[in-house]
Amino acid sequence: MTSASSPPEVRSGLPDFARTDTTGPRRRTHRGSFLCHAVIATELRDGRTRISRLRADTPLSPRPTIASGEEPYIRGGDAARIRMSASAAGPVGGDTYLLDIHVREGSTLLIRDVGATLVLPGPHGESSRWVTRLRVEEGATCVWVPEPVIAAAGCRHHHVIDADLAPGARLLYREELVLGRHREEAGSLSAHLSVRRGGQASVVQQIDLGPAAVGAGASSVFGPNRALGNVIVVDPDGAPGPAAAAPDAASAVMRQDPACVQITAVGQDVPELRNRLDTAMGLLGEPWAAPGPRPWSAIPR
Amino acid sequence: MPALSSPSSAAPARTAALLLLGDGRLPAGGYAHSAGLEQAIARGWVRDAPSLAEFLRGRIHTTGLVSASFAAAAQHRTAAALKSGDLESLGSALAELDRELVARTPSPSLRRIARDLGRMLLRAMRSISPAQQPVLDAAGPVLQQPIAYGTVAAALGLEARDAAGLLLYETAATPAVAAVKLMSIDPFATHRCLAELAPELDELAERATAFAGAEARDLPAHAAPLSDIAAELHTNHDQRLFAS
Amino acid sequence: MTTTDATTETTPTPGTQPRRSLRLGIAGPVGTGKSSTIASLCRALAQEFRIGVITNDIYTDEDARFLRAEGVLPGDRIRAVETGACPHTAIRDDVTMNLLAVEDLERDFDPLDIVMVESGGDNLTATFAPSLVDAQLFVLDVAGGGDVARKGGPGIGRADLLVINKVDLAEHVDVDVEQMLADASEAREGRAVIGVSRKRPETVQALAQWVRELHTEFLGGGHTPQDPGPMAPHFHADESDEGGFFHSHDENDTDHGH
Repeated sequence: MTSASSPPEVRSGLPDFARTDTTGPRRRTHRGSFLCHAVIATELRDGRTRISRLRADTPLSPRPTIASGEEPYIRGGDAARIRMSASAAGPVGGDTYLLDIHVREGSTLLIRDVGATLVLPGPHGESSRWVTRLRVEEGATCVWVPEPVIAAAGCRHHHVIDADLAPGARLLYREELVLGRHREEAGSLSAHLSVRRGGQASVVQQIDLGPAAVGAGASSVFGPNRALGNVIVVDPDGAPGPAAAAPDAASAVMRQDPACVQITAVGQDVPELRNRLDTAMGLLGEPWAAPGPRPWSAIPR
Repeated sequence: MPALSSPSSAAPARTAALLLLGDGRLPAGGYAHSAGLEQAIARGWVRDAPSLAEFLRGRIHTTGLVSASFAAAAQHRTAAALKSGDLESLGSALAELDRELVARTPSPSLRRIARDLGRMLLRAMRSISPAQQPVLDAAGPVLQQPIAYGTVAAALGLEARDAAGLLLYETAATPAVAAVKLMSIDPFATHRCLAELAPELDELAERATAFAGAEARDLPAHAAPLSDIAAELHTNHDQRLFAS
Repeated sequence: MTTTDATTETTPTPGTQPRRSLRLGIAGPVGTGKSSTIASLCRALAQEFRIGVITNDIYTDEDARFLRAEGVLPGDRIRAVETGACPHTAIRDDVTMNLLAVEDLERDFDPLDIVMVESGGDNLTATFAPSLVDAQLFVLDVAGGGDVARKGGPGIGRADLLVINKVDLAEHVDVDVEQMLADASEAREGRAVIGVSRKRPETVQALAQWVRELHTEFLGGGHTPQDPGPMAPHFHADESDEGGFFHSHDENDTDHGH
């Protein structure tokens, strides 16, 4: 969340807690916070993608679903489909969520959310964290389009996505980060995103927003905006779209390397942000582009 | 007779070398850049001294910290290579840093500019400091600017803290100096902005220096999304005074 | 250097030394015809020499676009360097951007015979540093007034060649070309002066011949780069209430933006 006032565990591109292996049983911390660990794994069996492991851990509840609506980049309809839902509010201050996603060789996984993630301050002023470790193996595809992460006033949240891709893996990841609910003051959010292919860095970034982030309101960083979005597309056959483009003064399409393109956009609110992300994704061409707004979201536009 | 205070460190301070490298007059091509400020002014995001000060503050806490950390890391690796006499592996160590920094720089325009500025610094130093030719050659002809600065700093006998401080100051001074040509602003006001940032620059330089010996993948990655967007807008801008 | 083209994506390979071309600078005030002089030279010499061009612009890459539009050279042998509103700095105090651009061009199109570097239009005092170019032309035009040549200064006085351009316009602007050439010769103490008009082929041929002879001399090792000298004291209008002031530039003056 911070830059000058980073807590010690968030000194670097990826915080230490994101690397610790907390595979033990679910437990509550002494103050009643959640320390949970959910797992989703898929594999290819007899030419079809199957869910090989699904571990819910309160409050993180991944649920298998059937195909519905637009499913970007799902080739031939073979995919495991998961919707993430939460059986309790949060994360709230003090909570640590750990989500492991493992898309094994040749399989395809589509993950969506049932609703937005609302991050709330806890009763003791502690920070919260949600660490997702994503592994996508050779020939596998992960399409992950979560709903917005909303940092409610007073929260201090670390949101960590650590994606480790095989050289022949595919990824579509879209994130939307929002400061505060409607007319609410911003909470503090530190979002880490790391995408590596074959161990080599493609995208590594930490975005610190909200009152705890020194300089975040500057016009060189985030300005007066309230919403930030990123789309990452990794395609070993070649990153789609132009090498670079700025469709308007609040969004850009930027090719990271021959296989990876990033879209970044900002906005005053979620609808504005989504319009920009949709427009920018339109520049990527088929199959990423779609006419009009993307109908993936659970949240009405 | 009162005892004379003696310097705490045995190593002599390299103040003159630091000033040489940090001097805006070093002929390494930096004067053609505003580090995103021209576009920020064109878009109405920066209008006056207070909004310029905020622009600079945002920059040093994001781009500045990242650049300074990579400069410190490059200094550390180069100094180690010079000390051990093993220049063979320096190129690959710096290339690893370069890849990590590129992954932290989404904008293709910013990557190209940093690469060009890094090349120019290395090219200039080959002529300015011919005695350092072996280490500059081992570093390679193309490095992102912060890494080139770190390497050159080590070649001149400077410390990681020097390299970090230099990059942070550069991060703020480049747009501050360009401001005078781009907007109606008192030149004293631009330097007042820099002077007021001095404590933060020093604090950030300390933080960056702590990463000198860290693994490349663990270096800071603070993003500045509006700077990335502005850089791409600027590349397509027909009437521009500065290259960035 | 920042080229507006994606030219520097090629990685230089150390160890292979490309041919060192004759590096020829073209300086002179705004609007006197530096770009069209280069276009004329390219047209006249392109059959004999492999030529590359570096342009320096105040705004983006207008001059490079002009030369590409003229079609005098393959477009990728014309590259633009952006000088951040400091055209004189880029050819004198801090030549690294241009030097690297020249070296890149020599490497990418090896072997090149001549690389011309066009300065961004500046005032009468801007000249190339000898570390960047082997020889330099200074371009004036008759429309700037018949007395400009008499004013002297390092470019007019000591460039390797003074080009007085647009001589076909002389009668329209009441300038006596012969007198202007004579004044220039006197100011230059006999160094070469050529009157040129794009519309008079024999004048362009004379200019091209000068470059041919220079190239021959360069190949034979007989040419030594001459520094026309540092900026002379010069006049800035409208920078003070008193109506301007004289000053000179020294090494502390790289940010001087005019």
